[in-house]
Amino acid sequence: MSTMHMLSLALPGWYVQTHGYGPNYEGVRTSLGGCVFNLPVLTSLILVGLPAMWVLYTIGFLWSSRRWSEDDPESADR
Amino acid sequence: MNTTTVIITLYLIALMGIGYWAVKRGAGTSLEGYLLGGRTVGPLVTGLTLQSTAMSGYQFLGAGALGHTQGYFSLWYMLGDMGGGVLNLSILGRRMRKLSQILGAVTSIEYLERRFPSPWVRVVAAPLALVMMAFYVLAQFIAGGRGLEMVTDLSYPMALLIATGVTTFYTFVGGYLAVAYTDFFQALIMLCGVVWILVAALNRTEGLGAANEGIGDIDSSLLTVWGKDLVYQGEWGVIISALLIFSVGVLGWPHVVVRHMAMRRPSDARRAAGYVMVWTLLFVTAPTVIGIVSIVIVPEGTDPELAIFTTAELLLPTVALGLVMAGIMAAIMSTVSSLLLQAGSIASRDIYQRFINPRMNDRQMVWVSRFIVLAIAIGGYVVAAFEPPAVFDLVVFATAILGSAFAPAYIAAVWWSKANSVGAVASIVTGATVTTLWEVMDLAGGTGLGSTLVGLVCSTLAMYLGSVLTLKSHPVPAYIQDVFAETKRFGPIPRELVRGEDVGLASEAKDAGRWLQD
Repeated sequence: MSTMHMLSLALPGWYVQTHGYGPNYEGVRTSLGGCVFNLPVLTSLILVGLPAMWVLYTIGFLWSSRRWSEDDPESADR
Repeated sequence: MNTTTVIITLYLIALMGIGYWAVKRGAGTSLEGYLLGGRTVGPLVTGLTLQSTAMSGYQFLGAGALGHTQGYFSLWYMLGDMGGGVLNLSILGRRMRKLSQILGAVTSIEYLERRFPSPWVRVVAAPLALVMMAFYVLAQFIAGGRGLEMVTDLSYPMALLIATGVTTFYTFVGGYLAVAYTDFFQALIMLCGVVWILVAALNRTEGLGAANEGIGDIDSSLLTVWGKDLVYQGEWGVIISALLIFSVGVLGWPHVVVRHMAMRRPSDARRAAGYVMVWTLLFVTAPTVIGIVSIVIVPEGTDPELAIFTTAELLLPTVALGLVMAGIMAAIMSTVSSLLLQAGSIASRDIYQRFINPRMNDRQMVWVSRFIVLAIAIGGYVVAAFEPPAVFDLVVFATAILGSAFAPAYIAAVWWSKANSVGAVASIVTGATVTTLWEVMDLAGGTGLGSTLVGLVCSTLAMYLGSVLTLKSHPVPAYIQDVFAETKRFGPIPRELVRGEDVGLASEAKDAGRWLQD
């Protein structure tokens, strides 16, 4: 039995709140009401959150690499 | 001839036209021109060739099948895939472009040997990369032949001959330029095809929310990120591996990272990353979502690998179906051409010229590379015609090994000045060995840890320990330290630092060559 599963049995209320369903997924259907795309809370969070993280990473990279044009051969002529 | 066949035929003619255009642009006049397009490829084409090479027929067959059978568990693979291109360009792009030019490397394996100066790096890396890419290309040949057979009603051997023949033609004549620009064209076709099916599928189900409600009626566990019947619940080792294989693992694929070396300028990696993110957000999401939504669209009992195709067949008009099929062929052929060229260049440059016949001039090398591409294609055709079993399992195996064996070496090459040749060889050997054992002994099931995760961790440890423990006996040469410092610095590369191409890098190469021939 995994740690998460043991935790889910010990703290069922917390588990349903964070995952959107109970330890044996009996709550998946009943918890759908207020969620994005009728998905459990955790699935919605991952579906939206991880792509957002990659977009933020890209923006951060574009910002941090703004000096890279100094590598271009043309920059020596400026 | 039906509409789909006409569209596919036009598409194949367009690919050959791009190959001819590349020849006119002088693709075959020098070795650097043939293998790297003369380092003239701009950011948009670099970004899309990187992504279409990394994403094979798996996107249309495997990703859809995973979504169809495991529901939202497939998000883990999709989300790893989503960041692979940007990670690659941000971590390796600029520095690998500078370092490869300074060191005069024209293949991704040669680059490793020049950064970690020992012939043993190439002796270990070249055959390993070649064998793994051969498995990979074989599976793509079969997928290409089967795809063309499905839409054109040609026999499998004939469809296979056409699919491999066209890809080999433009790779043979146009080298990297033809491969990169056909990849660019194919990336656009792939995107149009898959987005069209996604829109049609969501239109049929009246939105993603309604589709999920229908999926919940069938099996609510498919709505969770733990897989059908929650089989992967809490299996973080498997989940992290799923995230890593297409994000960090891709940093070790020789046929993908060579794209950095062919960029026009080091700073092109920056703009390429922006293009990659936009394309990836649309392209990577679509096949997985179509696979999931297809649960409520396609009839029960449909082959999961055909979930996307069946959805398209049910929902799209014939013209659109032709475009979608061209997209599937594009995904397969863009990967095949890159694998063929890279495998050909490794066999010709990194094995034949390096250890057997170092006196060849540039033009001779171009022809040797071309004929090795042709030989690999003919060999691949003959084997693919017999469709050996379990080839698709070998794709997962090969990509996991390439990622685990090479990613730490490519990353350390540009980010850790103390990384030495012993560390590089130890990392490649350990990554390949551990991943192979993990897969062959099926240890993922018992331990809950995926092979990519374990392979990457062990390979990284081997790089660190190998370098630190042998730094006194095998110090990093002073000129590599200088080159490394120059790579970090912002500014154009000083002309005196560029070493140029030279196959006789180390005197030990002769001994290693003799040893190989014996």
